[in-house]
Amino acid sequence: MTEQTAPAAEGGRAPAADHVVTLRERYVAAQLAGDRQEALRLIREEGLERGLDAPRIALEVIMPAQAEIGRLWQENRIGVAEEHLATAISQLVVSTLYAHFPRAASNGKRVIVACVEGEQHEIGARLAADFLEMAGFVVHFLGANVPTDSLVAMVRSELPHLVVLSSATTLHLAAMRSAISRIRLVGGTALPIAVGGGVCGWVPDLADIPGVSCTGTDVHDLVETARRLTGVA
Amino acid sequence: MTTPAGSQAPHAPRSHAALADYVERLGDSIARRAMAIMYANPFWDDRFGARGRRFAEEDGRHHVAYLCEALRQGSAGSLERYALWLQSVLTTRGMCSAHLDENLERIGGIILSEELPDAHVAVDFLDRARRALCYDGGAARELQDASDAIGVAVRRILESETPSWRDEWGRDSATRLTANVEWLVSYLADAMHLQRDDQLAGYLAWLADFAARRDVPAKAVTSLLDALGSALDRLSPAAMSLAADTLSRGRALAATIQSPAAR
Repeated sequence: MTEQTAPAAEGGRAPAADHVVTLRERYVAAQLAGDRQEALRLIREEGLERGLDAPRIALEVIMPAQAEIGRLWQENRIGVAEEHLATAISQLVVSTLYAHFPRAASNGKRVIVACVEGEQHEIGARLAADFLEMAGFVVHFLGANVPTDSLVAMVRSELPHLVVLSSATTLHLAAMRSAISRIRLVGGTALPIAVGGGVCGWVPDLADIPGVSCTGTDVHDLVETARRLTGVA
Repeated sequence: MTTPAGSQAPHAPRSHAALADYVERLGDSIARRAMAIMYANPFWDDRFGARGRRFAEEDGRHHVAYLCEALRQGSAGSLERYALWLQSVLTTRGMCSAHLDENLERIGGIILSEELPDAHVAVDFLDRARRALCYDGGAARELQDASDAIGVAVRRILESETPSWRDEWGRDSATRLTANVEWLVSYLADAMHLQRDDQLAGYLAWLADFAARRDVPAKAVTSLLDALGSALDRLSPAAMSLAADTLSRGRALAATIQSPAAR
């Protein structure tokens, strides 16, 4: 999928909610079948070409589908290999959606988005980076499992206006706390840090650390928080 | 599993960072010792094999790590949430809630034995996590709460209707019966909560296979399950009906399982 094949129906009337639900169910079925071609076709033909915009596909199809895949693993309905297979398909789909994301004019504010050391669940952080970019931020997305040393080195060299750290659970909380304190050493309290991902629901007291904001898994909340923390009107 | 205590007055969280540091330093040793106590029971190696042992080691370290995190926060909330999450993972992978409960209890016992300052706080946090494993109402919760009473009833039924049960169960028959009933009740409660007959069936199939390999007569297992079915009359009619149906379906499904080891 490229900009050249962008759907004619984009910008038209948005499909009804039940169409989105059906699309999500069919997408999950394609993931579980390991069928990348079908997953891509669904997103293109049943999503974009039916007037469903890319951000909505990301938030109402891909992320709930990933939550469903996680639930299936948790309940031992699928194994680790199947979970990875399904997630790899969503990573491919999200990368194709990137070309369709609308973008606001740059606000000039630099943001580093990273999963903390040890954290392998990156798709939420990736979408967070995409939504920040759509809102006009200049984003460096570092992906999964970023060694704290390297993260701190990049903060030192890039001097961002905001650092967003992501972790899905508390398994890597020690790495999260370490990253926060070391970034503090580099940027002081003038450099705001936002924490996103499931960890916020598990450890609400992260927000008690001075200069740290918890945004959970809501990307719109993250964007609003990023605007506030960086002084963007 | 312990039953919930009364509600406590709200108070500001107080970090127990020093205790967390102590426990963290001993973490690997605590996890290993708790596991060694549990693995003295041949159940674990027989049912889960080498792969299970690897996961058990890893889980034990996670339990201690989450405990330390909770102590630093001064709140057991994240440990309770972790226990709940892990319960949903493990009870769909061949374990029952009572196994996780026992692991947390053993870890608490070892921390107490170390005579660390404020060790009771760590045990209190672990107890809260154990209480979180009690289902939030419904028939499965009623069954969890009645576990001890059902254990007593099963023994009385066996003594009355199957006088040979002690011979069939062999050495330490009473202790083994108590443990078996506790686990059976826990597997049954989990199956009811999850609506997963297959999880109960997997355990029942393993139990029958294991008993046969240990020269325990097949009728000993049958008598035990029959007695459990009868003892369910300690529950309310609605819970009894659901438990009895689940047990019945689990037994029927167990008979169709070819390879009982959960590996």
